[in-house]
Amino acid sequence: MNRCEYCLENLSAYMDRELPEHEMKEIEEHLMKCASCSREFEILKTIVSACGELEEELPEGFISSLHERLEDARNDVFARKNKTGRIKLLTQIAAGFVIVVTLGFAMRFGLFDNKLILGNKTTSDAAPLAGANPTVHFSASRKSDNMLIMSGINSSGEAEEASEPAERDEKADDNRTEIQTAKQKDAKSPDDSGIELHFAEDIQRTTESEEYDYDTEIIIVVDDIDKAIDSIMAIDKKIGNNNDYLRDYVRTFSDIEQTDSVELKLVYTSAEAQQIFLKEIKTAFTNIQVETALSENEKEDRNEYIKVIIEKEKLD
Amino acid sequence: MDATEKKLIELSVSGDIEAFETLIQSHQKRVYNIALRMTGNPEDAQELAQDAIVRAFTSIGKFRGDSSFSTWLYRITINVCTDFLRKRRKTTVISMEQGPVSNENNQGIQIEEEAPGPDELAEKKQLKELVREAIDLLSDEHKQVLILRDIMDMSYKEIANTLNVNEGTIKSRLNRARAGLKKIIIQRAELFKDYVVKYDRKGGNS
Repeated sequence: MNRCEYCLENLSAYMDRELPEHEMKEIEEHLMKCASCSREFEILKTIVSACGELEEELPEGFISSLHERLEDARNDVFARKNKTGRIKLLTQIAAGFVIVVTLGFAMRFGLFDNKLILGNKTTSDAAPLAGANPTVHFSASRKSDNMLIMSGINSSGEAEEASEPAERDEKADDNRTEIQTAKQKDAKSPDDSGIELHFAEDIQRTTESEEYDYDTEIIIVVDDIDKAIDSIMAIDKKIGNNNDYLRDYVRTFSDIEQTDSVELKLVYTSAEAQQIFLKEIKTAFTNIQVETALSENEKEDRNEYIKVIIEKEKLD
Repeated sequence: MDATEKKLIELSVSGDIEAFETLIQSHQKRVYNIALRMTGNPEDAQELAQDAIVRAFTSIGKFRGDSSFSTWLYRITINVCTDFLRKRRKTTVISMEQGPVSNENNQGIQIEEEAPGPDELAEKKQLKELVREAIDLLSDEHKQVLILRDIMDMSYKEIANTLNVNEGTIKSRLNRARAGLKKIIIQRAELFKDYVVKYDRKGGNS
């Protein structure tokens, strides 16, 4: 690197006085001698000083509208800790409300437990899992009037996977609440005592539902969403799971009566389980649409994803 | 973190809006200006600056004091804006049915036909306008360092903390950002040269 190249490379830091003393000196000396570099320096200074003049005042009404938004946020968020506040929050976010429930771990747990249904799996598969410490993971995100609640049970390993920041940027969340409760070894006896509510730091991003390539999408139209979720939970139970406590979480963090549609995401670790689920759900609901897409790479696709959209029947 | 700030943060955690407003009082203008230069438009800037501040408010319980509060707040702002720009770019590409304007290559940019004369352009106001427009055309990364340094007047260390990269990276990134800015300005208006020539003449050169 010749002197001019070196100088130009460091000109910017030189101007900011962010170079070690001896380098500052070297460049200073070079600028005295070199007209071309010195000219570059002048241009740089001109541009940078113009940048410095770009600062603008806050627009009119900024502070008052910010105040309103802070009040809304406080009502949404801080009030969530007590019931009255929660009702308020939920009324506000009722429109466009989505719940995503992941039943990955529980399903697998249940499936391997229930040999009657699967018939071809031994409990040895389930053994290592029983020792794992699963976490229930809920996150609620709110952007304008959309709310997304994700909940899931995962073994500790899977939980990490699920909460890994999504590379895709479109779903960076405005506001994210996370509840994690460490569960007891036994997935069938939920422990609600360890609930901890905290606000996730802004920079984190949630794993989004779009990341999943749903194998099956089910749309159910019902007059009572709450009951429909109960029915789905019952089917789940029939397959061999007991996720009643999950139901409680859904109830706690959503206001189903105020909602037009609820979305559940179910993860099954085997195609058989999915088939059983589909069969059951078809008999349980009358107004139901099922769309199944054939998975292209079955071998790689370890999990079966089912999206269940429960819509409230429009009474008009 | 001084005692007052600490107290205000504690109160904010418990949901005290007035305390939070006091806490951000001296920073909100900067938050707005970061958003303004990142997006290049006042409406988006207001929305995003407020998004960032509201987010800081709701996540303040997570602020551990590892960096200063302002650094933390500016980092949220930068993130909110960068996310917004990525989304906007996607939308723009779809709606415009033409290639996106590449930040690295601004060959396609043309000077408007009714460009003002050289004399007018030579005025500082015009230069400011040029710089403003040129910043809009920088890549997100370059925008970030340039805004934090040349508009916010932060030290390399503060910028490094805010963007969570090391100082060496800031130094070279800023150098490239400024070089890019200069290139765009000169491309956008050959007339800028007149300004520089005049400037040089004052200095007895050229």
